[in-house]
Amino acid sequence: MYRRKASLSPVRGMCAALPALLVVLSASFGSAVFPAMAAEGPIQGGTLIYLEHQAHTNLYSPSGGFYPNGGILNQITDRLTWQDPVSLEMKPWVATSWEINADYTQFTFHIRPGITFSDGSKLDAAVVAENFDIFARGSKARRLPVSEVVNNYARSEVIDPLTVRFDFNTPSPGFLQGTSVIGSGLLSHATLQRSFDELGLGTHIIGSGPFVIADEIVGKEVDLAARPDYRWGPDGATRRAWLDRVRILVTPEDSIRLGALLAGQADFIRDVAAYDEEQVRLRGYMLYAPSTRGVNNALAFRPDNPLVADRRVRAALLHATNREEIVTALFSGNYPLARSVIATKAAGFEDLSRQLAFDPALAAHLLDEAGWHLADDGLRYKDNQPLALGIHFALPQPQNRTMLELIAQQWRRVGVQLNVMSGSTAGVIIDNLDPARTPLMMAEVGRADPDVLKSEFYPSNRDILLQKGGQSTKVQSFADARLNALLQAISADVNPQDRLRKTQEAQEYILDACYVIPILEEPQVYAGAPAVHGVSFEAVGRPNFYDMWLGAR
Amino acid sequence: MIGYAVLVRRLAGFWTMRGVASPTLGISIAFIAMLALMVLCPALFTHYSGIDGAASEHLQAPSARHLFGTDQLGRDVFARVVYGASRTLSAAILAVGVGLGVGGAIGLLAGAAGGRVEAVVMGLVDIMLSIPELLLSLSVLILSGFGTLHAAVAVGIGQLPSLARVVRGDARRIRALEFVEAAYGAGGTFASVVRRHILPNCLTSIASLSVLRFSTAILSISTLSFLGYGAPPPAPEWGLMIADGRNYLATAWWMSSFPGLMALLVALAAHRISHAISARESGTGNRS
Amino acid sequence: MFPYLLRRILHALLILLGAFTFSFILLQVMPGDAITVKFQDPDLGLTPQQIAEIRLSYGADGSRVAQYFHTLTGMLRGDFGYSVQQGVPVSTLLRTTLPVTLRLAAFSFVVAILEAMAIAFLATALPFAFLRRMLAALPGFLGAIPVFWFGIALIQFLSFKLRLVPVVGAGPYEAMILPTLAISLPIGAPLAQVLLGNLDEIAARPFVAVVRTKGAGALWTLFHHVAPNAILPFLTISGLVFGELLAGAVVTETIFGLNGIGQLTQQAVAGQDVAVLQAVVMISAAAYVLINLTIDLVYPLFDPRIHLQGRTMS
Repeated sequence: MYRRKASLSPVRGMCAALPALLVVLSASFGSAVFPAMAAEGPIQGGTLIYLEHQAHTNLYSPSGGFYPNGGILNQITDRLTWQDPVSLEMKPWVATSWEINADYTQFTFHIRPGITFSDGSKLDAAVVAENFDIFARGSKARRLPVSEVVNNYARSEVIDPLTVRFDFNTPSPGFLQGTSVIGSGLLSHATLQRSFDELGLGTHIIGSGPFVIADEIVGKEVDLAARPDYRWGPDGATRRAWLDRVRILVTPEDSIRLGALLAGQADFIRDVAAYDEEQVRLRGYMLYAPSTRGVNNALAFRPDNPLVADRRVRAALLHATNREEIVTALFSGNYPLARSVIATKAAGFEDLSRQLAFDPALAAHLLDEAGWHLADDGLRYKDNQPLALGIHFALPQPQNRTMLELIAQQWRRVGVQLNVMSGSTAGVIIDNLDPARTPLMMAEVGRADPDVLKSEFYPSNRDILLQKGGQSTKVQSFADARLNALLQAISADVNPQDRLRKTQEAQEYILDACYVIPILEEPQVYAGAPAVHGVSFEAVGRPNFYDMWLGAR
Repeated sequence: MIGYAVLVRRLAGFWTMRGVASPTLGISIAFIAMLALMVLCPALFTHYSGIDGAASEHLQAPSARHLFGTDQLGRDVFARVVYGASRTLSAAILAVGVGLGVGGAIGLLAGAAGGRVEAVVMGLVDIMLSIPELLLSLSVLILSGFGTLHAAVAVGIGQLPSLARVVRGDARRIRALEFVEAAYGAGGTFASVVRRHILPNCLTSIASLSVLRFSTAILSISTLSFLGYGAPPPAPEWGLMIADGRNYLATAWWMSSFPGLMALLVALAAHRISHAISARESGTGNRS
Repeated sequence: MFPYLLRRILHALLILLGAFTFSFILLQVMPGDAITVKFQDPDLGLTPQQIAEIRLSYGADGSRVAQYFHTLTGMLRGDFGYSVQQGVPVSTLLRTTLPVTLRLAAFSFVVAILEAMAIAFLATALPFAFLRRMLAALPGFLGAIPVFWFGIALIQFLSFKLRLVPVVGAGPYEAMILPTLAISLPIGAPLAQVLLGNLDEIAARPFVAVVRTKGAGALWTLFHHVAPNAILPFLTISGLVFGELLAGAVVTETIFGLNGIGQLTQQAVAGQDVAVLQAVVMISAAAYVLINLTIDLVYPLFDPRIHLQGRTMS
């Protein structure tokens, strides 16, 4: 059996409990199909039908942050390193070993021999160097954007056919973990010659992963076929995938994905709504809720907007938010209450829940102090202007519109109006870049490295707070040099302990300034048929079809 | 051939012996009257709020306490249906108003004018007709921003070309009649002939058409909500409720079924009334 | 005959040009564009300057007039351009999606006509008055059910509960059964209404009474005298309803996960993928124009009373 199975995460724990559960199940169904195979271990072969919420948009590795993209890239590409989803330790994959110099400016990787891309070309030091040159610098001619995980990159050097070295201008301790994320999936030389536009078509993407895209119907279906010659799994695995094929079918309607699973038309589905979990459990199907281990699902302020420029207003809104009510009414045990800016399982987490308490009296007091006084209509005004804030709901986040409706109810009780807005995709993007229109925005990002804070907040990355000089040209003046320096320090600090400490410092700073209202830790919730075994996920909750196998149905 | 006065009398005639003689027509009119009351004083029907709810009472099945159950935020579905009536119906009226007001006027003038004017105007209408109604509505909605009233205008614009065509057909038929020619012969101007003869004679079919389109408009707004172009929360609107409740069809059927049922009843009543109007016109009597 | 034919064809071409121009303007004035949607993605973390450069590289900064003629001449050559959102030529997308929607449209059109005929004839011919009334009210009822709601209910019941037809992973024809059912309702309902009206109207004509007094049975009269007269105008309207299938297709294809023009349209609207939308508009406009042209040309063959010169397209 595959040796990664030895470690037991909560998810793995569920898998371990499966045989017992299956016995119970098979007894209740009165059939003798299940019991034998549970004890026998993985079975080779079979086609898994996986229902995905949205179609992928682009399979250029750095686009892997979008779940449907990452869900496919994770199966068809390999990475230099593998991050153990439990211990978050870095383990070998394409690189058998690596050396890092003392100030984290030089990384040398030794490539495992014998790896080939699915087009037959060799995966060697030269192509690894080419990958990172493009990820780090992008390509104007081919419209390839820059990867968010490779910063301060200087150059690559091929030392011998199986050794490559990367140099950085400044210390880049985040780079090693950066090589393990889906966004650093290695692509063949031919793939890298294509323009960004062409990488939307799955069959154009050549990786070295356990699966290849055998067929694709744009916007509807991607068929993965296992590579029979695959021998270079993560952490030293030397087997091919158990499954023969995976059919990824795009099924946008929530109720149809779930119904199809329960009716036996599909084996594994992504995005199960919290209110549907009960149905899954009652029918004896399995639920999986891997953490995305990044920045929690939160409302982020845009302090450039004068309405929320005052820390007291932001603090008041934070304390006016009854997060327990949100989690108990709308979600389930799979959605833990946020205890800081980042998830409990994220690197460098610090429990700051005492700062996030629900306290409407304090909220009212703070608003009074900030000069927002309650009028007869139940709303607060200052200079005849009501305290009314707009926010667009985020389609990809679970039940986000409902959640914001509930928060609007809660805020109305302290006299603040929250307008939940909707708009066309482009309209929402444009609005969200304008702090005057959107004093608030929904935030969430998954990455199991302290760098995730920088990814989310730094002006030249996602710039969630909208600082001057960042992604938006509409910002008048807001910039927080101290925050930026802190974030910069996390990504540049070479001592792992120092990095974690600085991450804690940044969390404290962000919550002291009340820049965000963290609500919950967002999991990715999947459901699987009882016949699906070996379910595992990479560090931020994308399935590894490499490990899955199908028992008798 | 009838004039305004006759039309008014006919509509009023629903309350006379002949109108009440048909129980379905009577029920239809009573239902619409009840809706009107819902729009004017929703508080008569329920003491719950249409916007606020108790999150702890979410997703409860219909009961004596919550007639239509509660939604995912613990809001009373019946209250939302009641409070949603005004928004839903005014949106439908606006949609029909835009569609028939603009489309009808275009059709009427084109049909009455004839000749080159008709050819050019109807050519433009044909161009609009050749673009799918839904795409037309969606583009207008993206341009104008989201909201119930915006959606209503978008639906109205989507329906505009087909309505222009129907009304134009009527106007054209009437233009060809002898008494219209006689009116021109007696020195009538284009404006006066349209006002005195052509418009009044089109009114019955316009009235019956607008009643029919009324329910189509509710459906179309609902479809826009389903596609993600619905009004922003939390204001209740039936189309949005049907569209949002669909995700709960297996676990909380009441969330989308009750607003759906209301829309259905509106449609049935509208059809019945529309049929009565056109039946009186053609004199074929009541069928259902 | 020939001048008439020529005029009709010219008119059709003018409408196509008009549809192109109108939709081009409509798509140009929308806020944001496909490049905003695709590249203003926080994942990519691009600066405003970088996005401006990308826009330049797509030629999306050229003058509107130049773009208009560029797109128009491209379409004339059969080149629909490139989908910014999906990263493939639009023609590739059309090649996979068009057959699905055509199949769906053809099936549901046939089923809708059958439904309409069944309802209308039963509502005229059934023995009991209350049965006839109930059936006559049926189109109004069916036409008021939202397609998406009905589609989901159909799936929940027929596929998930009774397990009659699979929804996901079904074969190309098997996958058509439920969507056809769902989409045929909103199309069939108005058709039934029109047919019912026609039947009523013709039944009230004097010649029918004459036939009846000659001793013909009610059914015989219906099938031999009333129906043939009612069907011709009915078919004309059916032709127009065909165009409405697209709206139905957008909804049903989304629910049933079919990759047809409808789903493509929905994605293109969300991504403001102008090239795709322009192609969809032109395809449906072409279908509309073709159907009308056919009706215009075929109609006189059936109904000699129509003077060819006098008819216009509408």
